[in-house]
Amino acid sequence: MKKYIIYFYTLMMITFISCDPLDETYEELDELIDDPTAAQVLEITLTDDEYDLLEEEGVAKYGNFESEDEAKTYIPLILERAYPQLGNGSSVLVTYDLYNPIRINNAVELSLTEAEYDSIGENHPDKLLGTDSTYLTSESDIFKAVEYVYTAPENEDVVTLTYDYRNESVSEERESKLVYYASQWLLAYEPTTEDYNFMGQTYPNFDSRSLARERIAFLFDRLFPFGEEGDIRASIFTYTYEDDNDTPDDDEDDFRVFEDFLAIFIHNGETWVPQQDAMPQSLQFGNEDGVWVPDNTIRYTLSAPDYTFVANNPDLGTEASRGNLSSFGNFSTLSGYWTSEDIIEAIGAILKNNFPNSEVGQKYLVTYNTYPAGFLSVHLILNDEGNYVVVE
Amino acid sequence: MKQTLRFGVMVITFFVMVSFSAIAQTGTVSGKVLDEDNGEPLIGANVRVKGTTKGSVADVGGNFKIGDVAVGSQTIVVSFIGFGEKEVEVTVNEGQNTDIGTVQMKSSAIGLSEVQVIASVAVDRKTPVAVSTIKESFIAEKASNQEFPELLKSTPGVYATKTGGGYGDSRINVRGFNSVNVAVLINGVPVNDMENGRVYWSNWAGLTDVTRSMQVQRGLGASKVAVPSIGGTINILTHTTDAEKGGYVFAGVGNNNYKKAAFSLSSGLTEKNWAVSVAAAKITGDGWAEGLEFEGYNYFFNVSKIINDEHTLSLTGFGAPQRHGQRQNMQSIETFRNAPQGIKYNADWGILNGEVVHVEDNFYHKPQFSLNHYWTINETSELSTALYASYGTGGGGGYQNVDISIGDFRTGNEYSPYDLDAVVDQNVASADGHALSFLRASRNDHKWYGALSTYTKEVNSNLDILAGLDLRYYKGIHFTEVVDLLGADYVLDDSDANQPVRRAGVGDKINYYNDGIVLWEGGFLQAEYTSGALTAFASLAASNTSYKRIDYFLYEDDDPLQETDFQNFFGYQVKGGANYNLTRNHNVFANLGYFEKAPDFDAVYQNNQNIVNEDAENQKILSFELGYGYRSTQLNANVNFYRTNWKDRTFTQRFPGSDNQFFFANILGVNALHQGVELDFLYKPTTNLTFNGMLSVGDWVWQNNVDGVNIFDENQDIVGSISTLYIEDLKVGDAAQTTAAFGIDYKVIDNFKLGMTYNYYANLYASYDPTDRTDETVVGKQAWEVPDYSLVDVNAAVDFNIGNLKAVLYANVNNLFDVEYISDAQDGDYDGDGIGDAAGARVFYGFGRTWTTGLKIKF
Repeated sequence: MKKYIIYFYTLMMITFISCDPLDETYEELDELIDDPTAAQVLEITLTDDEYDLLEEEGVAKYGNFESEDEAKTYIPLILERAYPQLGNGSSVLVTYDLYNPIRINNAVELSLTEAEYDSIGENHPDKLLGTDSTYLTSESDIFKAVEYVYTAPENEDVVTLTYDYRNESVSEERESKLVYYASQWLLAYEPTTEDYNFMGQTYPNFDSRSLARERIAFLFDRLFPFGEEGDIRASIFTYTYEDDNDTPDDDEDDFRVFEDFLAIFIHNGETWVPQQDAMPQSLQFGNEDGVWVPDNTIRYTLSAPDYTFVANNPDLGTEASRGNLSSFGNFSTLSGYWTSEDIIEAIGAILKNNFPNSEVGQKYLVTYNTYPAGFLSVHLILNDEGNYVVVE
Repeated sequence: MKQTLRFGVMVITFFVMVSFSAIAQTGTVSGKVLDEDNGEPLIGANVRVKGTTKGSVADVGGNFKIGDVAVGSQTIVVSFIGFGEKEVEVTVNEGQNTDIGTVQMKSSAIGLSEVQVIASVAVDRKTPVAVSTIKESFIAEKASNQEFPELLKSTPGVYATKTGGGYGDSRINVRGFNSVNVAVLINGVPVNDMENGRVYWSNWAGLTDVTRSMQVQRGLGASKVAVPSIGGTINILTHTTDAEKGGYVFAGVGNNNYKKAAFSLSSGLTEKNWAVSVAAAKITGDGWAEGLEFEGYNYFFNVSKIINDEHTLSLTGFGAPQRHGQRQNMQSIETFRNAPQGIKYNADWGILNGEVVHVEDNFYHKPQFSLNHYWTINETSELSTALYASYGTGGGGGYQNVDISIGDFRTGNEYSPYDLDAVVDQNVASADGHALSFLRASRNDHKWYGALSTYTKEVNSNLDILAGLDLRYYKGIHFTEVVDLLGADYVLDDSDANQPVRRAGVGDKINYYNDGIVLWEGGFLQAEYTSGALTAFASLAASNTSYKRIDYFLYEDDDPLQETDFQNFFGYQVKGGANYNLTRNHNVFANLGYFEKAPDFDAVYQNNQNIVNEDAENQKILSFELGYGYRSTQLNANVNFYRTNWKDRTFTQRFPGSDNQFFFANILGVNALHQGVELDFLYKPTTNLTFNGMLSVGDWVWQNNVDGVNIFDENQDIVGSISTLYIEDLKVGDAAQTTAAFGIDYKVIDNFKLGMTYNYYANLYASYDPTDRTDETVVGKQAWEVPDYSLVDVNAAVDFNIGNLKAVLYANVNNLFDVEYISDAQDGDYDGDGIGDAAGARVFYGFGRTWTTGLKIKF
């Protein structure tokens, strides 16, 4: 009898002891909760080493992508290979080079006819005075003219427009080069001979495009010193190079080619910046359960003024909940105060107030303080109705 | 051949005669040895025939039998450690057994039996309640570094944990009720806080050393005085003074730098009938988890004077001052898993000038003195009176953020200690010198005076009448005090209406300052009837509780509202029960009780203001219990069923909010039903081997939703309210509803004992979070169920001699297999489906493997 009890006892001990009480809980948690160290937020600029990771795919051989779509397709592969240790919740802002060379797309030469002057100048002061307007009198007239005569422009089309221009009773024939770029017409600046000299060129041309862009930018800083961030200017300069198809040793000079070349400059608030053939672009990618996907999420934590904004906004929450928010500076989720819907609506209002220019599809990961649960986060997206809704 | 034959005949004749005479001239003696005070068998009591080496020991039932006792008049000597000796004259008849009946042994401790009357200690097979008793030898062998609550962990209905693991921070729930509803009596004197009913075990940390016995009476219990024994009553009896001279010294060490030194000394009863006992101990250690360093002392003295046959006076004093670092904040399981320290991680301590600072700490000293007078009036009546006084000083430390959050400053990553030097830098830079964040303590001092008197009258051989008085005066003094300015010049406090702008320095009171005064006048009358196998009792106790609140901060000194009138609440309890001993082996019992208990202080002055809650209702409890007991020579077993229904309960649910702050939900008018089955047994197949075990299966649920629950922060300010708290049918959490234990004790050789205890816990639900249960959709959804776990403890004791002195070497390992388990949990919902889950819960892990060893030398 005694022996059996001891056997039974030993058996029971082994049965119970051999199971670790928390094993299952830990497994459950591992599935549910991400290890916070796997969720990193970082910014990277792709280098040749990283582009080389796409050797197998045969893309980005020259250290850039040819389109944003290509970048969206292949950067996830780079991230997957370069950062296999990162997991769900990670966010990477990737700066990559987009190959998008600026080249004249279609060059046309146009002159204005009498009829065209009439049409363009419909509201021209001279017309109103009963005289025919057979000349243009301002820069805006020039743009009107090109819009009228060249109705379906494509990006980087260049129109050389010949027209009569009257300036203070002096009328003359003029020629302007107009560039269609970024959905707008730009009056291209064509460097004068003096400009070329100023830019260190013996002849009125450049044999290096990169040097040309660099120096024209410098020229622009002098000519247009009051540019503002985002302003765009175009220049068309003369580019010269040796034609490879010519016979090099026939001692003739005709193998040299001269052609118009387009350069675009964008002001960054301080200086004019030439647009290179490959320009850095940024895209954000998020890791969702191990898969990298393009993601424009902006992380934002509510600050004291944001809570005040809500507390003072009679359209949000209830009087009681706003009062509580005003007193404690957080969203109380106790009964009678802030419901989840109220909080999302309030955060939406904050985002609309703080970021009025957000585009449809913009996502925000907003961290906000609550009572009693403490800091919580919600992932919102701006829908096409102009409202922020929870990302599904 | 002839001679050989003759010789052979003679030899045979001789042997036959000798054997005849042997048979003809001996008999056997049997009997039973019981403890006179509680009727429990004195297992292992020594029984021998005086002047011979013949003897035996008492078995599980206290029974013994000695064979081959010579016929005629003999003296049987019964002895047991702590009980002295008793001689019984017996006449042995040849070839027969002589039953000397029951030998009642009386403890040699002076005044013990009288204290047991005051304390209403239950008597086996007589008092009809479910009871488990832990004895001194058990404590010596098994206690190790465990505290009072944990000593009871292998008894049915009990769930005890170390909570955060700080010294003295353990807690106990009985039948699912927390300490507020478990009466704790030390030598019969109630120690539950008079305002909120809570038991602060840290007041008594280390007092296990001077504990003689610890009895848990589950359910209504045997207590005559009205105490909040809804879950049960824990009756702790300390040493009194031993009539035997002697003492011991003890030195022990353990894991995490645990050190303990103790001594005990008894003068014995002098010729002039004086007896003095003193004992003291010092215990220090670093604690199992981080930041739990502690230093504790305990002392005890008793002076007894036997004036004459009628009168004995006994003065007892004891206390256990301590200061210890706490782990106050539960963390998510993930936090513990991610922390480099693992489950030893503690968020609540800091570093200042290279030294550890226990930002969350606890310090308390509650000396308790009791003057007892035992008066044997005549042969049939006795009066036992205890006058007692107790003074508590201390509280719990913490921090208070004003403009900066201390949590933002850590020495390293988020798992590192608070960087208090950085906080000092911030405070030093404070433009007007006010503290941006500082350390404070919430003090809860009190003064308590009381008298307990019990008159016992034996009306006839069947009927005893007991009557008594229970008078108490209690003053609780509550305030927050500034402990450390952390480099600032002062704390800017605006909470005192008499001085609305104050620059408070270290030691000054801030935030709140109020007194709670409680008066208690109680009386009881009990009749005990004994007739053969039947014992029965009926008891009536009534008490008037008066509450007064004085608030020095909220009201100006000339404001009559500063001090309230006494608010009176009349409570009473009626209970009765009977035990019937069916045979020598079987007994059955039943008890039934109803009582109305005054609402807690906080329910009367609900919002920590001097506004009386006119709706404060008496709490009403109806409880009954049925039990069965089996006693035999090898097996003792008990089984009982209980059902306790509690209406209009007041309940304060504490829960953590953000930023490591705690909040309190004051829940009034909630009903709860606790019912279950409890089984325990002791099996001793041989004298060297003992098995014991228990199984307890409970079914405890909240019964109704509660409207209008206010939430308070630690500064006693209302921070919110819950219009309806949805807790109907929610299982009561915070205690394992199913527990089991199995133990084995084996005496390998005479002076070497080994023991092993296995404990199993299941159906443990996290404490619900009131703020998660504010919506109707949570109805029917349970809090997170903590994974079941089981633990094994082992112990060994070796007796040996050092010269003439007896010594014992103890060794204990608790949680032998280093099982990682969760002992305490607060519910939380991670995935938002309305059901608490592992990811949302905040928990305390129980300790991993711990050990102690110690040497006791007796003299």
